[in-house]
Amino acid sequence: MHGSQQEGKIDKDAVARATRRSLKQFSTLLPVLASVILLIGLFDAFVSKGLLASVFSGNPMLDTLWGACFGSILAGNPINSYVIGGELLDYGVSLFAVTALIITWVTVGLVQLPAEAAALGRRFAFVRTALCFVLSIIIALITAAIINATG
Amino acid sequence: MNRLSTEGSQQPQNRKRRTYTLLLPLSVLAIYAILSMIAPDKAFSALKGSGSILLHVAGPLALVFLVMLLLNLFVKPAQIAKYLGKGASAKGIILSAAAGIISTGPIYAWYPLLKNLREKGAGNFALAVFLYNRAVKPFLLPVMIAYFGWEYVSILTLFTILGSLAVGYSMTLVMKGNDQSSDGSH
Repeated sequence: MHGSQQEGKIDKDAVARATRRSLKQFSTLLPVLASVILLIGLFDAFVSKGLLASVFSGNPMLDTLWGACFGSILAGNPINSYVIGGELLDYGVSLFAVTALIITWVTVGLVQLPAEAAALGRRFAFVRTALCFVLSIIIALITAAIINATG
Repeated sequence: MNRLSTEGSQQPQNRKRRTYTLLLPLSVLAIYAILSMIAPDKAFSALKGSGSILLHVAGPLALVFLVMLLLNLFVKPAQIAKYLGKGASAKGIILSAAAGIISTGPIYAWYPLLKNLREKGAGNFALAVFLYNRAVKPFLLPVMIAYFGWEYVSILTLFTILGSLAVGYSMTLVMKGNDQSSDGSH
């Protein structure tokens, strides 16, 4: 915890620092988020539901696998995965695929794999990535099955 | 993390990152510019679609900023992360998970700190739990809930936290003999 509280009062400097830091974080998040939203607009205008249906057939296992593969390749702030996932749901893509995409987006990072291997060791990075990929599929299947059963 | 030793080397990396960050928006704007000349109707339709998505996320985004501000005010992830080396005790597990949940920023910014922690004895279990729990983002929950609802977000969050423990224990088993810390014995 911070030393930003003294005798129950919040230090003004700490608030200013936190605000600056939050604005900085937010400003780095916005350009990519805006781009993703604009790309989804393009996707909406050009990609037919039929095309998506050819990839995501409605088979829970295959859809989950595809979602996990896409999530593992793509990277960036998770907020983008929520926006993409939410729009994919509107397109009729199954919750299995969307859930797998959301989880693997953060937990499996093929793009960051070399950096992780350099920092924590090759064996650690590869084993962790493989385990996370498998587990994300299991979590996606269970979560979507529960939601589909209760919803 | 030794900030003094890493800050200098991080400056060119930050510049490179900023360039990459701007690359996507500029490319998307170029696509829209070209499209508006070739197929203005489609470009307008795409822009309209984007506008409605933006309206959908605008409210939750304001909440995201507020939660981000509170986290930055009261929590310092680097201080929390030092508990990653506390082993696979109940306290160690909770702290590793909490550190992952609270951690903000891109993962590549965390690698130098994690490397440093590993050298100081943080185990595979703690590191794996930390990394998996980064999927739980409290400050992004407003956006997630706006899209998927409370029920879904609660279930997914619960399974993600439980899943992190499964990854942690599996890592300990698979990496047996390779762990530098005390939790390798579990």
